[in-house]
Amino acid sequence: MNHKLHIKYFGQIAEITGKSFEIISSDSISIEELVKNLTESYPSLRDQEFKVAVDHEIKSKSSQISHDAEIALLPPFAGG
Amino acid sequence: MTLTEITMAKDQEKYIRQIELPEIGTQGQERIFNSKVLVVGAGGLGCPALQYLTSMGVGTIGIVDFDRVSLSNLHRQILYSADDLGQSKVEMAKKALHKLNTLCVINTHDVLLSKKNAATIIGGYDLVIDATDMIPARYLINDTCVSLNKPFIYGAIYKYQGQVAVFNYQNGPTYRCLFPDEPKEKIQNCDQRGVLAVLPGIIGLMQASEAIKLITGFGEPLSGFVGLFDLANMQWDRIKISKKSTKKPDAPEITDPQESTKI
Repeated sequence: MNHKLHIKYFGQIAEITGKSFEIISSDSISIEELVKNLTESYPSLRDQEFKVAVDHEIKSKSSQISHDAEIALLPPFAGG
Repeated sequence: MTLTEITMAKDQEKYIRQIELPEIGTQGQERIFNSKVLVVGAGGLGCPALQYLTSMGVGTIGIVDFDRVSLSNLHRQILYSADDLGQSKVEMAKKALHKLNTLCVINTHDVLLSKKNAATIIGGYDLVIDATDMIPARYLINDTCVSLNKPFIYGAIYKYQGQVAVFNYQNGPTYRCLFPDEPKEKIQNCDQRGVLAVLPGIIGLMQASEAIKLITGFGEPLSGFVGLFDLANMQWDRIKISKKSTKKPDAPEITDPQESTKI
């Protein structure tokens, strides 16, 4: 079944994607597969360190997203 | 009368607006007087955190920074002025903070935090505010706090966004539960990406707020979450982090305090 993923990009990730937010439609998908798809759209993501949150919780690569969800791509920040 | 009682009597009026809060009260203010807080990094995040922690009555404050004041610091590092250019940040910060609260004991550590001195310096305090702008220092603070069982309050910024979290608090998640390993790619800091001065002010004060919460026990500390603040659209997100069973880091070497502090 198709569902909507609201994806938020933070920090350097938003600069790579050129946007802070987008909505994509997807079948049930693992985080690993989602990251692979996003990397095809935005190849520079390959070099970036980031974590993926689903509905405001950091999830592992193998977690499955099978509902409408809010996704966040969260890189480490260095500035102080 | 204990030293705290003398200080309390003298400063009752100074801190009365804080003591009036039922969640703080006399007991909370006494805890603040008796607390020892280390701030690593006296820059954009560290300056506002130091300023408020001192004015709120923290009894002992340590400042770690090996840097000197430069002109491009002044728009956001609000403890310094043009008269301080080229001077030691920790000494200029101490001078400014002393004017806010003459009773606060301020220890300066004019050194780069390293594996050799981290445990000795951090060991003297109850909690640490990580206000650095270097990723390796963040891992060093994390690992040292884990090995010494001390909480630390993380803050970091990127352009218009900031992250803040309380780590290693009551066996809660650590920075390595969020980002297990140091990134291979270099992450850019304020010097490379620019910074709007108010952002580190906001995030540094969030760190100071969390410190006061840990000290007094009021409210719910931001442990088990990382907070994300976006100044551009004023959005705030809290992302939940799970505790991971990471290998306990090797205990850092304890050295003679005299050796770890450059005079």
